[in-house]
Amino acid sequence: MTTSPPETAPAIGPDAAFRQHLEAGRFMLQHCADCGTWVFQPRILCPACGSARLEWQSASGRGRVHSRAVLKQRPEKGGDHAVVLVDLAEGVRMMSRLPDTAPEAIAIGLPVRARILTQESGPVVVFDPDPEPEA
Amino acid sequence: MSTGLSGKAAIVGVGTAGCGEAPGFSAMELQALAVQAALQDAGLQLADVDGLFCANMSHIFPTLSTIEYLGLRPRWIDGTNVGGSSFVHHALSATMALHSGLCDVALICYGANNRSAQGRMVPPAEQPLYEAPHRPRYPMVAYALATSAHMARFGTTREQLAEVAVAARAWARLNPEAFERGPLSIDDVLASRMVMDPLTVRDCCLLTDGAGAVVMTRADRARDMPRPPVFFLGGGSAAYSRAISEMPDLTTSAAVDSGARAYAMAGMGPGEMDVLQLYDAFTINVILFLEDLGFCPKGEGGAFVQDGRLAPGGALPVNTNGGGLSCVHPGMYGVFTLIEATRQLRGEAGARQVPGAATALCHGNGGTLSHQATAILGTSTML
Ligand SMILES: [Zn+2]
Repeated sequence: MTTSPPETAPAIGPDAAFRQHLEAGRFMLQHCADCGTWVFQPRILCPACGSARLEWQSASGRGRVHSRAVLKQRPEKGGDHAVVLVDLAEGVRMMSRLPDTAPEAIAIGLPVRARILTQESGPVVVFDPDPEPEA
Repeated sequence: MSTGLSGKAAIVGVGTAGCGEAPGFSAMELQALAVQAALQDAGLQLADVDGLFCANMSHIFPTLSTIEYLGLRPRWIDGTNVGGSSFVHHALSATMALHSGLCDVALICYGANNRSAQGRMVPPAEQPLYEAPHRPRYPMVAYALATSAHMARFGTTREQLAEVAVAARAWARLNPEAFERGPLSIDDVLASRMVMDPLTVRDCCLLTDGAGAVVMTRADRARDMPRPPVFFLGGGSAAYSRAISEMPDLTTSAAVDSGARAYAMAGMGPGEMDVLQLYDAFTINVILFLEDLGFCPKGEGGAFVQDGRLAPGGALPVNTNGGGLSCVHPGMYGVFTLIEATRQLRGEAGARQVPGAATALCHGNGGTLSHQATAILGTSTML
């Protein structure tokens, strides 16, 4: 007897789907149709309720810096490198960075807006300070 | 619910080797030297070992390589690898295996030559998929993020973090085996090189060579061993995630659960612990674990460690060997918490001995604040 994937199985895995969306210029997040939880990293099953009904929806792209760390490096080694955790309005958290913002200007709580940056490893979600943050 | 495990097994031998710098030795060689020392301490032979518990980052199958290298024929093998906390977790799993008769002599061991062989902390090959593109420097980035969050949320200061490093150094100065034994002040820590803001080099653990081994038997047999047995009173293990970006709350670790499980098994609470060995990969670890293990309320860890409370002569002796910050940190440190606790409970810690110590709490941290394991040990008077 062969086992076939359940009907809810997506055509491609959520990791590849996330990347395909980014390549098409869309920052999408999974949303659980059963419990309403937003999910990141992309998954097959909702980590809150176990449902396989995770549906792609456009991310707001709005968030705030939850924490930050700055690797101190000499300029010839690439200079200081800030890594952040961003809490998106949807309630998910992701590691990222603010490529065009000086590390010392990146404070916890800073409102940020997402954009897609294509780098050597592929497209990634990065952030800029939000010029028009929501209250 | 009682597991029936409290007091059923004991540590009967401990040994270390190559702590600090051991050029010319491989990880397996250092581990074998520590095993030899621990077995000698226990009055046992390699042939007596029939349960093996180990983990490392240098071998893909740590237990199999260790079995082959030492010529073991264990009846029970546990290679659970949850990071540097593995060995504290192994103490619980060894107690289970001993109590159920799966083995009679359990060996927990670790060895690494990080300092001599590589000269830097080498992270495991596979890193979190959605973090790696942002070029995070592991493991430091995770602890810097947790430190920043704790500072922003609770007002924890760099001076308070420095207190942790200074206390560790003060203990290390009393321990001939410690790697860093020079004087260290709060000002020294604050003035030291900023490596990953907000962490200076003195907020970060050492990178040394070193190996450690622990031998356990059932409690009844332990009473006939040459050294005073150190009984396993309670243990717990917990994890919610691996990557720092997936940690539910950067300021609260799974030690909340591992600690509660260990206290419940031991039938004890934080107020009954005489000496603590907390995995101090970074200064923030100690503050987080003191909070999560119930020694002070959440958010008050910074104030709690002030004025030398953790240092020699302070109210709460923490990391009496000098910890990973000043004694030894060969990539994974967990086994050394068990070894130092055993030495303290046997009363053989020399100049750093905590007078009358009868209980000890060992806490292991694995990954990047990912896995937490707690073990409570005690002398025969605590049974
Ligand atoms: Zn769900």
